Order: sequence, then C-alpha cells, then structure tokens
Amino acid sequence: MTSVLTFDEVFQNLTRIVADALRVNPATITPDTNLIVDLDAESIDLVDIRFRIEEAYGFQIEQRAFVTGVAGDMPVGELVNLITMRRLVEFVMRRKGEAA
Amino acid sequence: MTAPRRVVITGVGAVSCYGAGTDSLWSGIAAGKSGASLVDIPGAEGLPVRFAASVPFATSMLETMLPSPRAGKTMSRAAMFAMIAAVEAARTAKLDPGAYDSARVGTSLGMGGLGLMDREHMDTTFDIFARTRDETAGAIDRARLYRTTMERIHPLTPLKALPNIAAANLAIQFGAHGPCQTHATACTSGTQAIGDAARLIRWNVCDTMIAGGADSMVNPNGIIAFAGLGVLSRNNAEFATAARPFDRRRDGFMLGEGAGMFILEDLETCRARGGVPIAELAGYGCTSDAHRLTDEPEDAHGSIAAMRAAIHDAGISFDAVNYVHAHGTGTMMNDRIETLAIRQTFGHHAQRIPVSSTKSMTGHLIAAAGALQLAISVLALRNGVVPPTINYSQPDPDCDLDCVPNTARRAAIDTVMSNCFGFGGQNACLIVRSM
Repeated sequence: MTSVLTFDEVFQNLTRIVADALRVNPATITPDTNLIVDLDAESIDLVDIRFRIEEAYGFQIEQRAFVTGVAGDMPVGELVNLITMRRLVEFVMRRKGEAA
Repeated sequence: MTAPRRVVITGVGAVSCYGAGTDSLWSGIAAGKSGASLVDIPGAEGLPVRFAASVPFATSMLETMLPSPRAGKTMSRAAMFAMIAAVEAARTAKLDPGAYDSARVGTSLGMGGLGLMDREHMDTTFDIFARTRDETAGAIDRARLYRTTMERIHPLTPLKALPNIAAANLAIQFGAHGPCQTHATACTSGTQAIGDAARLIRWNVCDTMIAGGADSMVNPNGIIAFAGLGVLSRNNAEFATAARPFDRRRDGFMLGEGAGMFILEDLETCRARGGVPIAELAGYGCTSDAHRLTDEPEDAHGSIAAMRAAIHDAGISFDAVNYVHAHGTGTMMNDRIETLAIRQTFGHHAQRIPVSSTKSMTGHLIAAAGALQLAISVLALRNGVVPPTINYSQPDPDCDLDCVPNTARRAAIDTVMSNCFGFGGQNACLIVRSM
C-alpha cells in the first residue's frame, strides 16, 4: 500500500531542504515564499535543490523538467514570479504520485 | 616623468594550524610552537604519513565562519580558507567596498589542491565504488559506476574543482570588478599571485588588489601523492619534531594547510582614503630553472636569479636585507641548494643574516606556502622579532647559515626577503620592508 503524502508533510520536508540549501532560517519560509525573489536563489541553488529533492524522494528530475515543472512551463522571464514553495510542493506531490 | 607607483600592504589575514587569524598565527610563531598533530582521517593507519599541521576546524565548521555561508557549497576547503583570511585582511585594512572604485580593484589567488582532493569528496567516491562493485565478477561494473556517479555526486562539485572559483567568490564578496586571476604554480602559487598583483598596481591597471594563496593537501590524496614523490618526512614516531629544516637529520617536510591573504594598495590611493600601510611590498622576482621538474640545478641559478631580481626590483642593495624567510622545506635537496643560493646572492653578508624556516612549525602549505610565509614576514617586521627554525639540533655543514635555532629572536629588522621554490623549477621571491 502506498501512503499518500499530504501537502503539509511535503512542505515541512521541502522547507528543511530549501533552508539547508540556501542557508536560511526555516521559520522564515511559508508556502508563498518565492525562492528567487524572497530567498535570492540563483541557478546553482536550483541545481542544488533539485539534487537534494532527488536524494530525499528517490526519483530523478531532469533540470529542465524541474524548472518547467515548478514554474508551469512559463517563459523564463516569468519564472521569477512562479518558483514558490507552494508550486514546489505541488510538483513533488505530483511526481511522487506518478511514481506510485 | 611621474614617480613609479609604490605598493603597500594595508591588510593581512591568515588561516593556519594555529586557527583563524593573524593573532593566533603570530602567537604560535613567536612561541616557536609546533603545529604538528596526528591527522584525523579514518583509516589513517594505512597512510605512510599520519601527521600534519592541520587547520583545527572541520570543513563543516569552516562553512559557518564564511561571510556568506551559502557560498560555501561551491567552495573547496582551500577556498574557504581564502575567504576567511581575505575577510580578516579587508577588516584590518578598513577597506570599504562601498567607497572604492570597484573597477580598479582586482583579485589574485594562488591555488593548488582543489575540491576533488577534499576528504568529503573522496568519501562520496568510495561510497559510489562500494555500490557499484559487481560481486560475481569481482570487479567494478563501469556502466553502473557512471550512472551511480551521476546520481550521487552533487552537481555543484565541479565548481569546487575549478581553479578560479575561489578567486571568483572573493571578487563577488568584495565587489571587485577588476582583473580576477588564479595562479597554479605549485609551491610558488601564492607568492606569484601576490607579486603579480603588485605589478598590476604598479602598472596602473588596479589601485587595490585582494591577493594571496590557499591550499589544503592534508587529506589521503595529498598525503599519498607527496609521500609517493618521496618529499614527506615519514617520521611518524617522532611526529612532533619531524619537521627539521636545515638540520642534518631532516628527511622531508610536514604537510600543512591554510591561507594567507593581503590587501595591496597603491600608496597614494591608500593615503587618499586615509588608509594605514603596514609595510611596503617593495620587490618581486620570479624565474624558472628550465632544468628539471623536481631536481634543482646544482648551481642554483634559478633561485639566485629570482632573489637578485627581487633585490633589483626593490631598488635596494643586497645588504639592506636583514632577514631571509627561507623556503626551507626540510628536504635534503631544497635546504642545501637554498643555502648555496643565499650564499651566492648575498656573499659575505649571508653570514650576518638570519635565515629561518617557519615550515618547521606551520608545515608546508604547498600553493599557500608563500602567502602564509609573507604574512609571517609582515608580522615579524611589525613585532621586531625573527621567527625561529624549530626542531633544530644537529648542524649540517651544507646548511651553515644562521637558521635562528629553536627560539625566536628580537632584532631590529626592516627589510625581509621571502623565498619560494616549487616543482617545475618555479622560483619566486618577495621583499617587504617597514614603512
């Protein structure tokens, strides 16, 4: 039987991952936190976060899939507004669901 | 014709076997304290050498000492040393990145062993090999090895391996938009990085340079590599006194790690901002033996030429030098040839100059050796104290200069030559003098 991941569970886990990757206080991270605007993430940080998610959840993510998956396949110029924790959690839940 | 630009040192920073900072460095050096300790490496009993002058911080601890901890994930251990020392140098120089013309500020760093040498990376590699062993065939399954490597090696690892990333991180930290250069010339890397940085100021390319060297070879790769070349002391039984430059019983060097970093400025630029020079970087000489990779020529022509070039560059007479901070590795060959070179360069004056090797205490920092050595030279000038060569008890007729045995000596020194020689026949010398 595959247990279903709840939003809160994934959010808590991703908060820890993102806080570790970006060396920020996890208490400052909410579902609306934007990784780029609020946490000043750059491209290498997204690569780092992708690797940490792969390690934690045991699935592989192409870097491109990761960015489009999180950003909803929007043009690059708009990524900045779309890489939020909420989108990240939904992406991981979707991928984990596909894997199950 | 305008007078040539003068280069002054306004800030010094260090990471060494004594910890972080120039205060701890000078306390250790002035006390003649050995930095030797047993290496903290699992399985060290399998290594030919089990001691070194290690920096007393785990890499995870170093990361917390960085001004921007997030940058640590792209930094090798050596790159972290460089950043920590550079922050100290900028602080002592009272350098204000908001106040300078950033296009006229450059970075110049001597680097050697890179992130792929770090123990953390080696541990990950071992784990990958363990997972990809094909037990039935008794060998590594290469296809599985490559797949597992792609999955397990952190994708930012290549940034730790690129030689220029440490200097690039310095440029980002200090908003230095001028030239950003990296020197990889073995044991002379740091000295050349500093010397060439001074030239950029003299040539009016830059007003300010953040310059120095950093290295970390105290890891299984570094120990095996240098032991394999036969240049390390293997005196594990007497590790605390194994580093014995100029002593008849010397049998190689002790590895060290760390960084020395400097703020170099054009004197007039420094004065205009109200900066205070600590010393003048007066001379630089750099040559190649063009002889053999690891044998020094018996006539020491390359190292003599480098010393003479530094003296000429400083515009001083050779007898103005009153302390030679020797390369003094503690290998049979280096100390013998360096003694000969100093005699040839200074003539009868050689007999009157103290010539000591602080590698007896700090170990040999490889690419950072000249940078830490210059930091100690500046501190020696400032304190009026000549550092000792410790662990010295049996004179060698081939090394018959005054090596300041075992105890630091108070002396009115104002001009110091710092020597550096490296594999490949690299020779580089710097001269610093009091202001």
